Amino acid sequence: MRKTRSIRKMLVVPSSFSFALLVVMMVLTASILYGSNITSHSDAQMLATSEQVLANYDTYFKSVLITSSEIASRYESAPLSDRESAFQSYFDTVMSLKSEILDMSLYSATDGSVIAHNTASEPSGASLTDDQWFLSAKDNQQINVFSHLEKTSEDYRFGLSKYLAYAPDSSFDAVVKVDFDFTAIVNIIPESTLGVGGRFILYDKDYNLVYSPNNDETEALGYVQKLVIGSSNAVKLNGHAYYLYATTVANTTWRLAIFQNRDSVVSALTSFSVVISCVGLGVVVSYSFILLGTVNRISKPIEGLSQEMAMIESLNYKATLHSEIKGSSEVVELNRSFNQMMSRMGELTDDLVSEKEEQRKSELKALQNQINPHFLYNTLDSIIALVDKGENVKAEAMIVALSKFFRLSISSGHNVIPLLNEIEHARNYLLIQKMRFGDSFAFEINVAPGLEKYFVVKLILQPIVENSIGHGLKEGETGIIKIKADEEGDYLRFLIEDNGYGMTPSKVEELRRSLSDETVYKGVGLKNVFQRIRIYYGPLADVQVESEEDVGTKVTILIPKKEALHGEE
Amino acid sequence: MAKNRIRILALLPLLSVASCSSKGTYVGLYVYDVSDVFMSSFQSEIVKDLEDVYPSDTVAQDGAGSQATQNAQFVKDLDSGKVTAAVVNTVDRLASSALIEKAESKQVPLVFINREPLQEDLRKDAWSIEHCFYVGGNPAVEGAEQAEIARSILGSPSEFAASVYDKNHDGKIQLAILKGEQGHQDSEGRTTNALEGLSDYQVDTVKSVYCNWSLSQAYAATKALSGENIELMIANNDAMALGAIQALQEADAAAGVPLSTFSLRHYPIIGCDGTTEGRKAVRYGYMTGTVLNDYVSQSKVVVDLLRYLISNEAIPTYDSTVEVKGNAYYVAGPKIVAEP
Repeated sequence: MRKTRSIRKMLVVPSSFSFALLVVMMVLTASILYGSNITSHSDAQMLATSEQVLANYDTYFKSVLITSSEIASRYESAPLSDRESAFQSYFDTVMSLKSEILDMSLYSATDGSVIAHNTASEPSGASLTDDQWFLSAKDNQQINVFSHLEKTSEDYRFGLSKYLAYAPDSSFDAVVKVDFDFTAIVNIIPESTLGVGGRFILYDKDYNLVYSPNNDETEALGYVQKLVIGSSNAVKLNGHAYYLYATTVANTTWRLAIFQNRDSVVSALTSFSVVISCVGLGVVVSYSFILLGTVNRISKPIEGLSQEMAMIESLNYKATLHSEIKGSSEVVELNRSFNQMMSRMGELTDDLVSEKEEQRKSELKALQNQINPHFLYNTLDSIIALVDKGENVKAEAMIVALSKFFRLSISSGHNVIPLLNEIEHARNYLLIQKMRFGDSFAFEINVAPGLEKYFVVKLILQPIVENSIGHGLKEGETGIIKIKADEEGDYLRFLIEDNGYGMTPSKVEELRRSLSDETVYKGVGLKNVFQRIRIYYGPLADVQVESEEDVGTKVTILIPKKEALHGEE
Repeated sequence: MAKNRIRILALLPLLSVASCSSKGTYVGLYVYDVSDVFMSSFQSEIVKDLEDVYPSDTVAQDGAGSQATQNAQFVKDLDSGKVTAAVVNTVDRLASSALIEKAESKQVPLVFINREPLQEDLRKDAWSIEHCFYVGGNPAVEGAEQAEIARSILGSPSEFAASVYDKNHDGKIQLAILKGEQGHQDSEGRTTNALEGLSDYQVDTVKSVYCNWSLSQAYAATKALSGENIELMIANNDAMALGAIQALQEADAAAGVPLSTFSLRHYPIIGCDGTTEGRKAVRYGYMTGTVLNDYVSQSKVVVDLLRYLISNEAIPTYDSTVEVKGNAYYVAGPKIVAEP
């Protein structure tokens, strides 16, 4: 399990990470490139618009200036006589040609009295102390003075005043005042082209507001003062982004500031960043999922394979047969090989098990067969002796016992026989031996009630009893052999006890060791029983030997009860 | 915004390198229009003089007649930080106050040439009084000298009526004036002072026309005057005087009149600036006289002022040819007439 997870990690994590890094870099690069592109493009466009607005202003003021120059030239060369009517008709002509001129009038520079005016207007003369346009023109005789824009109900207008020197006699110096319509220039660039809140603002050189569509331009002024002239800048005003262009207006002392809304640029940048980030994220996520899917298709079968391999530990060779593994061809091939290997192993194991079984059976048969001839010869010898002595009754009884004994021994070829039969078998044996050895010993057999249902491997009591008779009986004493069968916990317990010579502890120890040691052939009978119950009942079955010198020997056979409930199948 | 920051961060090392390498003194030079003959000579002279003091490969920036263009050039250079001081020949003298404001924000001293800022702009605050100057010709002297040239030809007011120059014998001078540009201090100053110098004559100004310092405009204006009785022409500069001469010469050529009789057939024409072409015309007798607008001396004054502004050298003092008024230095030049 840990291995497959690390395969997934090894593949998915670094790969996803580097891919994500790549995507992030691409997104960043794209954003930066797009940002600088769109910014420089829109800046260039806005600069062009600004320059267009400025060009309109320049053209407009150039035309204003030409008018002013014409008047100045004319005044210098005009004869003093008839100035009034000459200029009035000149003014009327100019105004008929130039629609942007609203009013023209000429004043004496010395006393401010009206010299001439266009027919339509009614000037009342200039005050020598109050009228700023008049005073400024006198102060700055070389330049055109522009008065601030006035907004009337129907138009914007501004005034131009210019000092006119009359060289031959300075007492005839004059000041001309021309009112221009500013509405046209304001309307040339509709504010809609400058975007929401876009506008242009005119300041004089001390940053007093000359013209603005808004009343309060304090915040804008800060930016304009910072920029002064010429260059442009991106600014934020009242929550909107603007492109600000500031410069001087030719032939005037005015400053022009143009604010163009660039919210759309900012929002385009933002939405582009958002969209490309989302796309990038989507690409990374779907890449990771695809990768994860692919890796799963590799790692899942391997995981399944490893789970099945883990089942080998529990010796379940049939595990592979249950699952069909899908995956890459390598993994399928691996699985097929594994399945083949497992089924081959299963076959081999089955063979091994049946082989072992056969071996066990034949061994069992052989061991059982070991017993019979040995006893038969002895008994037949005893019968011959009885017949020789003419004790025919005894001989007959012995033959009957022998016959029963063998019948039980054979038990129709069954290895496992009812427990009572086995007891009966031992009894017949004891009877035979008792007769053979001339009643030199007595025996008791106790079977606890309720043992009728049990079956045991046959010929387990007789060899022990044989030992007791053969080695256990003291000469000159009446030996007693006791056989007891009962239940002890999960076990059936058989107790074979004698009161013979017994054995030294070292001998007991030697005997115990010989039981499980296959290379030692001592105590043929006991070992034979031990091996047989071990073969049949497994390691739970046991044979215990207790012995004390000159007291007797006690052999206990323990058989697990649940293994003894059925006869031979 | 973030992107801007990134870009600015990326540029920072470059900027610092750039500012280090241009640590030396660089004097920015801005000319209203290098196609103007006089200004072209003037700016070459300044570049030449600067080489000796602040060698920095100064190249004059051409405003090409647009104040907006000049504003952009000026602001770009000042913002880049490479300019130690600037010499400016504005397109529009009224833009000076904005240029001073910008220069003050960058602490770059200015010397204006040829187009004089209003005194109120030049001395608008303590900084500008310390750091902004004007150097140009002396229009009052130039105008007066033009009048003197006229007087030496026309004779005294009492003699004039009897001279050949009073063509219609009315005792008045029929005068045509070719003016530079409206609002230019030299144009207005020269005209006013020339007329003042002739105020004891009876002057009848037939025509006063702005030709924007331009030969071709003066040529057209002079053609328009044909048929009028003109007894004297005063031009604010040589280029316009030459335009007038060209118009008259072409009319003569069309009529089959030889050039040698030019000065006898036409009215005296007086120019100003003393350009090479102008002096040639004087030598040949087509132009009666001109007044030197002494850009060589003016250039010296400009460099002197720069040395004061940049290197804290003593503020220069001059003889009577240089009139100092506030922050303005007016350099007078001699009149140039044909050798007798």
